[in-house]
Amino acid sequence: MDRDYMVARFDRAIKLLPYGLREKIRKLDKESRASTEEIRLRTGKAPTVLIGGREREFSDVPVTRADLDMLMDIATQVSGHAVQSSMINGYITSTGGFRIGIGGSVYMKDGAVGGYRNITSAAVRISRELLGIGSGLAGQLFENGIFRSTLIVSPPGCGKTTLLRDLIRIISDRGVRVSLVDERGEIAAVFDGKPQFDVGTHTDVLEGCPKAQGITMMTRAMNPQIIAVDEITDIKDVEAMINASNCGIGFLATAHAERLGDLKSRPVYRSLLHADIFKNIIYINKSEDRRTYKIERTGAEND
Amino acid sequence: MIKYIGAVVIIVSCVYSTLKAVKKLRDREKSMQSLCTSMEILKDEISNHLTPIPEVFEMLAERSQYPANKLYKNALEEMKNIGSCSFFSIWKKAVAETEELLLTEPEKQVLGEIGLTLGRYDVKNQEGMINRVISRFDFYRKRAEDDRRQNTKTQAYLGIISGVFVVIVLL
Repeated sequence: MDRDYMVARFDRAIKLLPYGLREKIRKLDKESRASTEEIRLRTGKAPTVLIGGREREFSDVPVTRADLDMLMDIATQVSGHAVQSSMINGYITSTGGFRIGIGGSVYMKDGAVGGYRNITSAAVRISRELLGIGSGLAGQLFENGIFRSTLIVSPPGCGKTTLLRDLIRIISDRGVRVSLVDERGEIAAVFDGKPQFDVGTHTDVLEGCPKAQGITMMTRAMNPQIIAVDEITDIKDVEAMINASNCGIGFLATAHAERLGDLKSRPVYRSLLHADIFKNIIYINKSEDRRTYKIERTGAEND
Repeated sequence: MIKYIGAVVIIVSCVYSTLKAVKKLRDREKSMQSLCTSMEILKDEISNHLTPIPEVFEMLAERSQYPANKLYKNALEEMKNIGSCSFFSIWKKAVAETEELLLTEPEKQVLGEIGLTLGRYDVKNQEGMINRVISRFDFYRKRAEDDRRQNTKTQAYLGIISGVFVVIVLL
């Protein structure tokens, strides 16, 4: 991956930090800046960066509550109310497409999380767009010019979302109408009405909407050829996918698992596989800094 | 002849300063009214549309009445410094620097307190705070209206009388 791009993304992410922390983190060497995956702030503790799965302190001055409040003010542009629906799920997406995970004390309202009473920790994930990683795969997802529904499978942290985003971009740029149901705002990272990541010229984005509802809405409203969703986790998502699939819509989706066998052992995915929606499964294998991809056809197996 | 011209100048300047004082009373009332209306819009945008603060400020800077529009314009300008200053200090600075609002120090303090809650996560809290400030400013507006009603005539008479008095003493 282009090192300058990695550093540029880091430099953009640190603009979310309060001035004092920003000045400290700026002193990291270029190598560390390029390989930082997350910036982690915890009240009363030294701030750290996550590199290669390990945390490293970049200042010995403890993070204060005011630092975290200011981080939230910068990330939300002093508009916490506008991101309340994602906050109650534990994160927000800021300008630049950076996802910020939040820890703290929550309060309950009508049996569900109502919001945060105070924030005690935050993890700024430095998402990076890897243009072209799906170029060798995209062509293989079509059969006689028709897109075959595809599921991307890997354990967490292997780059499912990054691959999904690039496949959406490539397929969309080929003139295929893609509806992207981006529930957590991680794929397109829409900010101020504009996707922060390139998701292609023929992609319609529905952000912040629960997947099941979003799939139905996009099916009715946008006449998509493909619907893309990240991380199928709920039986309602599966039901919506089956209904849309019966209307002839293809799916490009991701799921947490090591292998197809793991999916079959989980009730949510069992019904999805039984419905025989997915004809292709892409496995991501991550070793050190390299990722390799393997496509498996599933049609016969699930018949 | 010069005496008469001098007398007219004195009377006119006394009346002018009186009218200026009356205008200030009117402007203060207008300022309170414009702040109350703009805060109603602010509350509505936050609670019903979840509009981000910069967007509401931009809208209020363009569309709300003078002089409240100046406050939002100044706050929006200052918001570029978020990260090195807290929103609270940015808002307080905007309140302090918008002299057109003609606010007294206690009024500035009440308006400044919005900065502690505005944009924070709970819509209900924000709504509650804006409501409290609106009701305070509605009180200030009524007081400014009473001031104007009671003092307009008195000040006008005083202006003319003092002008005439000065003229008589000098002649």
